[in-house]
Amino acid sequence: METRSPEMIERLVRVLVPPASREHVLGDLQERYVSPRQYLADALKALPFIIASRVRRTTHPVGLLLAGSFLYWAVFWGNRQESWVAALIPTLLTLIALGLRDVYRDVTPSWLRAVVVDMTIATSAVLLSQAVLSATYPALLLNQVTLQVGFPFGFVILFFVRWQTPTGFHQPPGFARHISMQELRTEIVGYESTIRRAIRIEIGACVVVAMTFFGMMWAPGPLVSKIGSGFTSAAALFIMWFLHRHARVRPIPDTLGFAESIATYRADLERRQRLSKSFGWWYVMPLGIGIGLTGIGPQLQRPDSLLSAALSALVLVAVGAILALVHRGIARKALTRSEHLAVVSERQPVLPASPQFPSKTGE
Amino acid sequence: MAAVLRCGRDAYGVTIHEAVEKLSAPKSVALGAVYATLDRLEDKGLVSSWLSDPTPERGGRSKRHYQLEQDGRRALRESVLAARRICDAVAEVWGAEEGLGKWKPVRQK
Repeated sequence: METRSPEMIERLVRVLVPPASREHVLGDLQERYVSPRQYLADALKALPFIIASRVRRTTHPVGLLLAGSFLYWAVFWGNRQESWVAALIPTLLTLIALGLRDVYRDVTPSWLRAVVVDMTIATSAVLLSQAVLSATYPALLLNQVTLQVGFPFGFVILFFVRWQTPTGFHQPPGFARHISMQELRTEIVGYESTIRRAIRIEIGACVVVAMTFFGMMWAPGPLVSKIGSGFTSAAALFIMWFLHRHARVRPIPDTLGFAESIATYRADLERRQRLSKSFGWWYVMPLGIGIGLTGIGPQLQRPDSLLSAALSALVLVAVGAILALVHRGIARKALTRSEHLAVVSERQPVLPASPQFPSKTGE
Repeated sequence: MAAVLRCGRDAYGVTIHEAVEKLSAPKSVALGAVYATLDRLEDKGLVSSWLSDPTPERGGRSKRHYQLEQDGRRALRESVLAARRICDAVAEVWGAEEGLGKWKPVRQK
């Protein structure tokens, strides 16, 4: 009698189960194995729950809303299409493709490669939709300008955003009272590499913004725009300096013991929490003032554009507020993790089960 | 959470599912639903989990063990007290008719 599932079926199930759950789910299914049919039925019945749980853990409503808005308005230019549905279809497909990538995200040594794969999948989904629509419902195709300008440029921005802020990772709240040294080191290494990568990309973006707006100072236009461009350029340089001076990673040596590693890690989390909490002051406000002067200033000088200036200001304030709120959430998570680490102790190697505990339920 | 508690040190997917099925009998519970619920409990900080060493009978794969955290113990205690109050309230009305007596703890053998 077989005691192990056929390799082909196991391979199929392995592909379908998200990597974060793969090890223990496949092990549990193997332990319950009776026949290939039962194994496959068990796996297929469990899969929707596992995938739904993974979606819940990796998808964030605010992030989804922001991404959807960005895709619809700025990438697929919803208001310039023949029909709003024409922009909605690729927006939904991109969100679904990226959402599934997050569900099936695996720990990878190369984030750059992972993001390239993400964007390749999302781009393929959009192009495939256009191919299908061209054969079935051409009225819902994106216009040529969107396909040639909005879509490629927007996806380049999305690429850098996803590279800077990796998605698809879920860390349980860390309420575990006992963790091993290995688990602690893994968490610290992941934390440091995420912060390091984010800061490098942010500094690179600041350089681009500073140079762009410096160039705009010399372009023809109203004085208030030039002042705004200069202010934005200066703000970008300030943010670059601030990140390098205050936010760069201070590596935690791997030669430290458990208690020292925890203490150093907690201190860094608390530093990160202070930076995130004050994000609105050192990041949003300087840039917001500069961009506001550049874009809205000239509108204020024309009486017939006051309403559009007010709306633009409102949008700018809203975007700034959302960014600041997101970083407050990051600050809260960092503080919560630091508080939990305060009561964590090192897990010792697991001993065999003590005789007084039943090995199986009810027996 | 009661199933995790009952399984003790051997609380992982398969054993927790068996315990849940015994507790919810005759209603059957899907294995996937147990995973999803354990994930939710973990996200709320009521349980914690870790991967054990691989075992040969599981095709060389690890088990994900679970244990109740302090918040989980507190929440389970509150649930049990609430369930007792409900049982007593229903037994007062239905006790004689439905064969329900007042709730009594199961004697440990």
